[in-house]
Amino acid sequence: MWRFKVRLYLFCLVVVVLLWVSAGSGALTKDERFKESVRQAELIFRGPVLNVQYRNSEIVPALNPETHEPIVDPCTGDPVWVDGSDLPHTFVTYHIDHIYKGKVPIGSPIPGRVTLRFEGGLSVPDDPNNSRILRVSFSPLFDVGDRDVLLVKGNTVVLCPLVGGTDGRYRLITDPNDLIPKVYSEYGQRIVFRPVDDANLPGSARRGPYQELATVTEFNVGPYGFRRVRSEFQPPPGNPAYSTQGQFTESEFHAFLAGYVEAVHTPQELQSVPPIHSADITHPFEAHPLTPATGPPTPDEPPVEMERPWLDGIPQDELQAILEQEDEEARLLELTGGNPVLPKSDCEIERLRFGGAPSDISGPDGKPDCRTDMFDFAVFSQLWLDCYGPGCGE
Amino acid sequence: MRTHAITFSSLLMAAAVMAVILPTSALAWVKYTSDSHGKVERLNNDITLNAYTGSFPPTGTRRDSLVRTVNKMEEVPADFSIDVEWNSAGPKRGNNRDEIWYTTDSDLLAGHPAACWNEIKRGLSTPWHIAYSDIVLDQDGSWIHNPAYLNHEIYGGTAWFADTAIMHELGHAFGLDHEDRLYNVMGDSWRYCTLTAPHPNEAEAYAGEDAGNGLISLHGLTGHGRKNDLSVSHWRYCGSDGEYSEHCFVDVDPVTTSSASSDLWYGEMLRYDVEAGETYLFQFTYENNGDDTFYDIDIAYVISSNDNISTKDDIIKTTSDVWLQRNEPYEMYSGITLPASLKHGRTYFLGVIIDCNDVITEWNEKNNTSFIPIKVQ
Repeated sequence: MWRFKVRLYLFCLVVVVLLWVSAGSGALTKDERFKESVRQAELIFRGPVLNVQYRNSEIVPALNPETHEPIVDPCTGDPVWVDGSDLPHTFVTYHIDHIYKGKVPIGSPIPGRVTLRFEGGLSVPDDPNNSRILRVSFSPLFDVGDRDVLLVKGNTVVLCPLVGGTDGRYRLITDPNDLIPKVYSEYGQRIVFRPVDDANLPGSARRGPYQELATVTEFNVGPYGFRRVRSEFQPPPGNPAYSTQGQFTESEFHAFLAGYVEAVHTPQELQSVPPIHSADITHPFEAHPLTPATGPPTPDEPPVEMERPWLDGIPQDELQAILEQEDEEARLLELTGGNPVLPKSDCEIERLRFGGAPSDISGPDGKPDCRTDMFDFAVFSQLWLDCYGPGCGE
Repeated sequence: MRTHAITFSSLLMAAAVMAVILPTSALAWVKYTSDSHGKVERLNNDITLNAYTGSFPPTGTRRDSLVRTVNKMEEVPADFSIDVEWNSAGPKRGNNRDEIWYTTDSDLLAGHPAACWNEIKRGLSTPWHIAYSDIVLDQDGSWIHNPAYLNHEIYGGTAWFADTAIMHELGHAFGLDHEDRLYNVMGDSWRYCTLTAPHPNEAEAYAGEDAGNGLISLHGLTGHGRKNDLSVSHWRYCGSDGEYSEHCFVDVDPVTTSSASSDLWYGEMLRYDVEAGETYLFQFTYENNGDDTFYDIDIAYVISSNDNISTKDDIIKTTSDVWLQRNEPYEMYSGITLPASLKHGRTYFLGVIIDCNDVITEWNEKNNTSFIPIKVQ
């Protein structure tokens, strides 16, 4: 009985450890990521873009840690700045039509509005003869008049105050085909409804196929117009990732999201979400430096361990033959520099090892054969006969 | 009893044959253009990437990883070159230098393990162009810089292969954006690699066919002599995840049923259950990363006792009916009858060798093989 209890205990311990390991190492599914995004957001709201403005971060001189004096570049004599200095930022002001999660932001000079600050944008003051734009790979691009549902987190603190970068933006665009307002991703992928197994959730929102929309592919940075050009490739039909079924209309998404927020939060959780701070373009600000890491976290990475369980259980004599063949294969691969087409004859091996004799240019199979004979002479003669005229042979 | 009903597998095989015959011309990369001047590219195609010496110390594997990846990027037959210098003492965004470093401020990266900042400029006589790029990687990310593939997360290891992430960010630095419509490095770069011999096998990050196409579109063809490269991989496109493609391990289908059973063997690498003497459709992804179009390419399928694939292994089928143009990765099923002599309970490697007669001169001959583990039932 005691032994049984110990075994049961060990079994449970193993199960717990396995569950913990799998929970810790497993990547989230798309639906789990959507749920996490909603849970992490400090503010989820819908509204139009009223204004897009730019301002650079303040220049912060680097200081000598001991003397606290500004550091000067010994070559140029110029002061040295810390990372984050003078970086263009985009201030996007929204009118808040509806809040799905969170509270009315604080710090906005006009009630009912919120300004979000994104790293990247046009450097100001702009000199049309020397313009400069900073583009961050995970930040969205906004134009006045865009309408969105945004999942906001860390405004004025992180570089891009949307949960998951561009993933935190749901664009509301009137489909030119049927004039119904629908939901799209930053890049114009249709947002589609997907049912989920969890009965507590009203479903999930996924990205579906692209729709070519001028308002998505064309955008402005300050007075300058740009286009995001996708090449003509059409994915093969039938791919479930490209099903257009279930695309959210704006009104469907509105009801879905409202229900989703309630499903993943308790009323107490929703009540305790603090209001976010609206960004203020009139105030100077410092951008957060991306502090350079010194050295890897550990001095060395784990040693290379190449287990080969497929060789387990093979009878010894057979295993010996396999290992000998592997050694031979490895030796030849080294000769070919990793080319998997290995030499078949001693001659080919000799040529790889030592190079061939200059006179050995052919053989019975039309390839060098490590002999200088009539085959080589025949090819040489042919080349000689073909070579005539000025410059031949140079 | 065998039937002659049309099965899913036979339809796939027919589709594969059709794909061999029908020409395709579509491309799938994404880039930017400006209203006033067209494509936004590098004006100076020869860049110096300054690596922060703190993040890339002289000893350790990080420098090897960066040099290896930059060299692979340079293999693309597009007109650019990259020099790496270990002289960045204090990297900063927007300081008129191309730089790369690891940061301890991982919470600022919006959940991304790496990101790229492009400084785009315009002058009196110069159009909008990418002037400088800064590539920043998360110091707290679970990275591995050793190329031995079984150490990588997708093959059951403990960390993500840094080369693939750096390759993705270099794509941004040269003007490409994310791509979700096919197998490519600007999508799911974690699962975008080839394996090379000799044992222990190593993974190689590479720009690949689609990103290479985009880079050639932006920068033009090279005059540096790099010309041709074919490659084959056991990863394939399997969907879209936001702006990124999703990649999965390749597929094996019996001819008579819809799919072979399999188990997750090493990480996300599947091992398929097979029967000796039976015919299966084995899928691999083939790419033409170079300039020329090749017709009647020789492909050999082998049975190997290990994960080193070469012509020394038992060749069980050869074909010469594939042609590859540089346009998009080609995911092809090939019907292969397994030898009846395969031993019950044993694990083998169904290998593929593209250009198995070494007819085509390539800048990289090491990426011409791949394999699918199989277990004989």
